[in-house]
Amino acid sequence: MFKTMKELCSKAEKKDPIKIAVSCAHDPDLLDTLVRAIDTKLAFFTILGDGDKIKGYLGKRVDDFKLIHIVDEDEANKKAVDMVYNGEVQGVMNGISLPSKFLKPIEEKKKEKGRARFLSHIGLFEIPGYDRIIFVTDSGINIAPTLSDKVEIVENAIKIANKLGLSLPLVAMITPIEKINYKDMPSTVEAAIIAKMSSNGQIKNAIVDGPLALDNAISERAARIKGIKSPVAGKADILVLHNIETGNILYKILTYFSRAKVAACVAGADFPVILPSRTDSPETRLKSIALAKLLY
Amino acid sequence: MNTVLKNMEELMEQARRSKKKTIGVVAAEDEDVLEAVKTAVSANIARAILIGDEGKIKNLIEKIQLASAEIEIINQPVPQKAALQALDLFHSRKIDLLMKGDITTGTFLRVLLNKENGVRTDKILSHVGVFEVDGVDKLMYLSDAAINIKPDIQEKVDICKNAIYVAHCLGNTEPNLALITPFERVELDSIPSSVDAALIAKMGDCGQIKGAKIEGPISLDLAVSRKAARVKGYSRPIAGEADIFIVNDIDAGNVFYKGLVYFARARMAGVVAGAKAPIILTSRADSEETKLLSIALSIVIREVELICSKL
Repeated sequence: MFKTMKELCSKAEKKDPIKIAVSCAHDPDLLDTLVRAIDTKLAFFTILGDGDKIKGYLGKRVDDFKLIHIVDEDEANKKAVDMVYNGEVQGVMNGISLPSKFLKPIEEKKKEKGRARFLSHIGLFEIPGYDRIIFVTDSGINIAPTLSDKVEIVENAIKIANKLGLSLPLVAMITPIEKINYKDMPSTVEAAIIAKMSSNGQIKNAIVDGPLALDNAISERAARIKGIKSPVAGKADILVLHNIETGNILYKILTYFSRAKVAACVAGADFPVILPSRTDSPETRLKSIALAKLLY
Repeated sequence: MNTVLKNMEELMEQARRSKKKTIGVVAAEDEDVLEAVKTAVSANIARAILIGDEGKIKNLIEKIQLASAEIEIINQPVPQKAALQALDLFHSRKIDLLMKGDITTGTFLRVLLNKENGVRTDKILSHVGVFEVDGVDKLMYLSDAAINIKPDIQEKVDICKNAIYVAHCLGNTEPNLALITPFERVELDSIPSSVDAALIAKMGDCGQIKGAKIEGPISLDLAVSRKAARVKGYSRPIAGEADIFIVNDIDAGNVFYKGLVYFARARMAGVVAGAKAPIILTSRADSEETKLLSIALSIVIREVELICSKL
């Protein structure tokens, strides 16, 4: 498993370029980033969207892309996913479609194939002062996951970590306190149940523990002072947040206040899915493409 | 108070300039709490009356070398009675600030809020965290990360008012208050926090909550980054300019607080607001600096209260 974003990128460089279908790609900033990805041999793109606009934005560079003119948002999203199942591309990326619309054909295709598992968002962060990549989930897709949704969020994240070479990631279920408060704090109850499912072998290829507050999950000093005994305390690789409110706040603190470097992906599909936030920097988008390369 | 305090140095300076305050520590037989008292006494911003088990307190004082002319001990080994005694001392103006020692938070606050001689006001108590983050040229306020688990709308209004009050005490008399949600849209069916936010923001517009410009629902990136707001086409004046961040529940607040401290290396001070005087509650895992800054914060708030009560 890479420990820095630089390592992620150099690993990705060693693989052949990935073919990605980008849906609703008629956005000048996005296209700039895609050109950079082509120039660094990260990926080849099939871009779906308003052909006239795209040609206007790209000028001559349009020749570096395969362009499919589809103006309708839903149609473009569906076509991108079909292209993966037809073997024309290996992954999909969202341009400026609504996230829920972009994900819809992916979910529908999964249902068709009898795998009704669901999708979750994972951010990988390199944070100044931390010696490892920290995974944060779910900051972007599931608003208020139920207990069984959360088990899938955990398993999705474990699968991604395993795939990236972390064979036994340490997963922390993040809550405000370390005690179970079944009356007022559902996050602590769900954390406890999922931790138990891990210790009795129902969740594999990782050690999951909780309820753990954020400080005790990532700071060995804090865990020591509070006397927390847990194999995950102070060393967590994967932070599982209670809901979208908490996930979103942590994602944005890391982005805006910690100056962390980030790559993100959607887990749970049968292929790499990139769902950039509208406010992601070009660097973040490029790192997410590099990550997708390591995941197929 | 006329200047806006912009960072923790200025907060400490303001505490030093204030008239020296006396902290009443309830059940003071707690090493971490006495360490915090020691830092405040050494910084020459406070003296303390330690109420609790005298024998244990004396042993600890010797152990951490707190011996000082600024310390007085009152023997009262029963924590609940110690809290009641602290209230008497507070009402007779012998102490200015109340601090929790080796007593459960629940018991401590229950006694302090008792109807006979407690320090309750018409508002609920809430925790206000004050943060200094590298690259941000002002103090930021966060609530509630520690006391109210799942506040209802009325409690959230009090939480807003308490946070506004703390910002005012630190000189920021026109703070921008952001009600933080995952998105900026009101989602009636799926995101209750966005509905609360809309209602509270409207109460701000109607003048029902005063002393701040209130905006929400708004996501954290829009509240702190003008660039993000531009990209997302969000054009309200608060974009990138929020001073006070109000979160939906303790899950969100706690992650916000600890994310800032552990991932952004923020300097932090905390206080319990909503009573007749600031209440100091430190956590064992707080750094020594946070403990000192939390005491300094309470001193600055109390100074404003005492000056206003004389007007």
